[in-house]
Parts: sequence; structure tokens; C-alpha cells
Amino acid sequence: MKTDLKTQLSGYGQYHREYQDAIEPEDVLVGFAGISEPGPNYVVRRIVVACAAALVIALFIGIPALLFSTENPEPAETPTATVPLDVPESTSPESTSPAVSVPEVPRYEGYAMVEELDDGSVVGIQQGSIWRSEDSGESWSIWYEQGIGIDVMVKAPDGAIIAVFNSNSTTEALGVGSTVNDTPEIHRFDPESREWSIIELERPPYPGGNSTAQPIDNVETPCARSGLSSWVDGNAAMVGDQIVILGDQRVMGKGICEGDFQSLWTSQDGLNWSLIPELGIDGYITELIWWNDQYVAIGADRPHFIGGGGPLPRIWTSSDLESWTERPFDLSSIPSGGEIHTLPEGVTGWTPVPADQAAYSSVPDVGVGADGISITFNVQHYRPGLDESITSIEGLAQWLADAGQAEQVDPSLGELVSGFGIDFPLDAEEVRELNSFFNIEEPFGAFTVTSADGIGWTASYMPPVP
Amino acid sequence: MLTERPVETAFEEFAKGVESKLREALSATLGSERGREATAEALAYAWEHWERVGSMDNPTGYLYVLGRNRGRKASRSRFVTLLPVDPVRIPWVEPRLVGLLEALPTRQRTVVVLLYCFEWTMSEVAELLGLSKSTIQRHAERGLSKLRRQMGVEE
Repeated sequence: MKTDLKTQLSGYGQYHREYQDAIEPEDVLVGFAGISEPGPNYVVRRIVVACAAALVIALFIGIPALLFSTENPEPAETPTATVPLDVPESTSPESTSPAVSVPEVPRYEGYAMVEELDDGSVVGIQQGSIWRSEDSGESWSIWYEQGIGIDVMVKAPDGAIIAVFNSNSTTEALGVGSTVNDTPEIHRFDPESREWSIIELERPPYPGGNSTAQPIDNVETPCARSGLSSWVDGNAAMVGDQIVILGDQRVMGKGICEGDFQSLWTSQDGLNWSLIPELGIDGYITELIWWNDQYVAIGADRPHFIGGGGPLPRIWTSSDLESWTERPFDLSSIPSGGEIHTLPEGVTGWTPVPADQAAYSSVPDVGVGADGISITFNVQHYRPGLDESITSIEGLAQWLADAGQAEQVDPSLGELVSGFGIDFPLDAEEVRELNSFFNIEEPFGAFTVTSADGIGWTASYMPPVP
Repeated sequence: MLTERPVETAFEEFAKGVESKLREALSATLGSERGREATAEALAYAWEHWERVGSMDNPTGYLYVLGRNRGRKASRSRFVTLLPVDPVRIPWVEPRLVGLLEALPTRQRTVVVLLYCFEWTMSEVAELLGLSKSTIQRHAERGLSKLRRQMGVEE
């Protein structure tokens, strides 16, 4: 006999509340108690608290979620989806085969689990530290930390543990013309000596010699607001039979987000690495997987953080990571842009670019099955942002209402805006801040690209679930 | 003029009072883990800007909007992940309920989870989201209807 829905919801809510209260009764407050004055250190305290909590969540939510997704592969109902192949439609990042993704979108959102070599203990990472449990996850203690963030950890075939640390060098005032060629920081745990050591990666040459960073418009995150710094980060995973680090670096600063290039380092053991300094593709990779005896790179024609309309999705294949072939697919089934569309709940959306240049999500979801591979790009449309023509809080309220964001208009709107130190008339910085804060975007659905062989690809549109 | 200790005490009292509600709201909107992180983020912001946040009429609503937007920006993924059902502890709850909740449109999920999972009142949800009670009711009915249809359960 099935229990009625509200009883199930109530039971789930009680379970959710007890679970969260149990692992973090008031921990979120711990970092703030006893502080004499507010200051930047709150971030450190917050991260410590969040890391501990997230590690526990990773262990007790992430792993059950993975198991659950394996045992219950039935996807959520999507009435209008059309997927040409009999492949599992991706519903979560966990469905992906061995893969490495761009650092901004770590596949495992900051944690990965491996089993240590010989003693059966389990290690896991959460931003900042590597934790270890000798009792199957019942209790944990910090095993290794360096005071800088860890992006990802992966276990090599020989049992070595490779930790990629966030080395964001943030060298200030590099200036136009500087060479930026930093590398991710790699720490390796040797299974024989049981010691950690730092592995020096070969630095990739900066394309063209030196940065020619120039101010550009319409810059989105993660460009810094002031100064000028180099940025380098890496993500790692076992792809095929080797560890692959996908490095991503650029010059960034106020109005500058230039020079992005990607490099790959590959290794069998985490000790000896080969550098592929430039991928030789006309685009930007967000996901790299090993499938059907070939590497499949998924990305776009340019990085998502460069403005000027949505990046166009791209797929490439390679047998050796050095020579790549673009695999085209037809986007004509995607609804045309440049017009007003009615979105869920009666909200209207606006496509700012031509038909084949909708504002695609930069983070595709990749599903791999026995019969093929399925890549889903969620499509979002961004309304035209507000500008300096808005001269009052009333004008802002009207703009939000026109943008289908009436729920954000209430008596506290003025207080909310002034809380950010924003006054009318708006200057360019305030316009950017407001556009960022109100986050005006709507999902427009998704399109799925499938292939049985990795060579030929078919795209189909999937409207948003009503 | 405020002294250090009263400011600290006032914030702690505020945070203790609002943290669970804020966490539930942000978990309903962003998912369990991201909601927790966004709550910490929002409270950190409140601490640093306590003089202004503490004087607001609806600081919880303000921090919800702030946490929601920062949580969305922090993770570009559009997927929401809620705590999976433990079939041993709550055997009467179908495990796929969580997946169906995750798949609901954001507003419907937020309303359904707050009203029926965390048992907020209609007024509390309306105040948090800045919507009328009738709008909340509409979102709730749509969400419940969809869940019932997909799960094949009765009223």
C-alpha cells in the first residue's frame, strides 16, 4: 500500500532536518563566536566550517547518491525529450565516465574518494585538506594539508595518490606584456615510501610569447576587479589509462580577461609527466572523457566567460590527445533566437543572438552507455541587462517587473540595493553589480547531442519541463 | 554607540534564530549541500555587514536572496541535489521522491519543500519569497499535482 504524498513529504522533511541538525547543530555559528570585530578572516573560518561539513556530506550524501543512481537508473520524466539513441540520458554529473573538466566546474565539486593502498583506510578531500579514515568513514582526521586549496585528488594505477592544489598565483601588477605560464601544484603520495612530495610540472610556453592583455567589455567572472594577476588552475582525473591534468590559465584584471589557454599534462604514475602545451583546437574544452577507444573533448568555440553572446558548443575527438578532429552536428532543430519566447510560468525570455547562437550553458552533462554517448547542453537565455537609464528605485522595480522578476520587488528593494552601496544615478560598476546580483536568466530547455561511434553526432532539442 | 560584546551577542542571537530557517529555504532552492554552503555564505555576509543587516525589517528574506544568488553564481550547474532517502530509516518514503523534487521547477520545489517537508506556514513562505499567498498556493498545487501524477499516489 502506498503512503499518501504529504505523509511522504513530511517524513522526508523530518529526516532531512534531523540529518542536517545532527551533523551541524550550530556549527555554522562556531566560526563567528568570539570574534571581536568583523574582518576578512571570517572567510577562513567559514571555509573551515564548510569544509568539515561538506566532507561529511560528501561521505554520506555523495556516495549513497552514486550508489543510488546505479541501482535506480530510471531518469526523471521528461515528456518532450527526444533522444535518438538508446543511451541513458544524463541526469547528474555522476553518470559520466572517467573524465576531467575545466577547473571552474570541478566534476566532483571539491571531493573525490580513493582507497589507500595496503591498509584499507579511506582518504577523501575537501577544499584545503586531505582527510583519512581508518574505520570505514566512521571517524576522520586531517591527513595532509598545505594551507592552500586542493582542487582534486586522483589515484594512479600504481597506487600513488595525486593531489592537485589550487596554485592561483595571483601575482599582482604583472602588466601587459608579461609572460604567464604557471603550472598547477602537484603533490604525490608514494605508496612505497608512504611520503608526500611535490612534483614539478613542465611549464607551458605562453602562446605567442607574451600576454597582450587588453581591456575588453562585457567581462564576466572570474576576472578580478582590481589589479592584474595571473591565474592558473588544474583539474585531474583518470582518463583512459592515464592521469590527465587539464590546466587553464589566463591574465585577468579589471576589464581584462585575456590570454586564456589550456594545457594538458599526462602521466601513468603521477611521477613522470608529459606536457601537451597547446591542444591545437579552435575552441575551449570543458570536459574530456575516454570513450570507445578515443578521447572525446566537449566544449565551445570560446570560453564562456568572454562576453558577446553565447558560446557555440563543439565536440572534438582524438586518439592521442595531440591531434584533434572536430565533429560537427546540426543545430537547426534549436528554436530560433532573437525574439521573445514564453517560458515556464508565463515568463517571457529574450534571445539576444541569432538562431544558432543561443546562450548555451558552459557546463554540459555527459552520459555514457553501452550503445553510445549523450551530451546535454542546458540552454539559458539572458535578458538584456539593466543600464544607466534606470535613474531611481522605482525605475529599477519597473525594470524587474518587466523582466519577469516581480517577486524581487518588495518594500525592501531600496534597502537591498543601498545595502550594496549603490546609489542613483548608476555608474558602470554599479550596473555590473546589479546585473550580477539580480541574475536575470531563465532556462530555455536543453539540447542533447548523441553519437553511437563518436564520429557522427545528432542534436535534438528538449524544451524545459513545464 | 554599540560596544563589541552587544554587537556580537546580537548577531549570535540573530544567527541562531535564523540559521535553521535560512538553511531549509536555501536547501529547498539550491539543494542540500549548496544550500548549506549558501547559508554559511549569507551569515558571513550578515556578520560583516551586521550594522546594516541587523536593522532591516526582513533580514531573513534579504539573506535568502543574497544566499540564493551567490549560491547560483558559485556553482554553474543547474542541477539540484537533495539528501537521498535512506530506505532503512524512512521506509515509507519512496526513494524516487527526491529525484522528482529535484526535477521540479525551482519555485515549485521551494514552495513544496518548505510547506510540506519543513512544514512552514503559507505566510512564512510568502514572506520569504516576496510572493502573495495565492501565488504560493498555485505553485504548491502545481508541484503536488506533478508529484502525484509521477508517483501514482492518491490525494
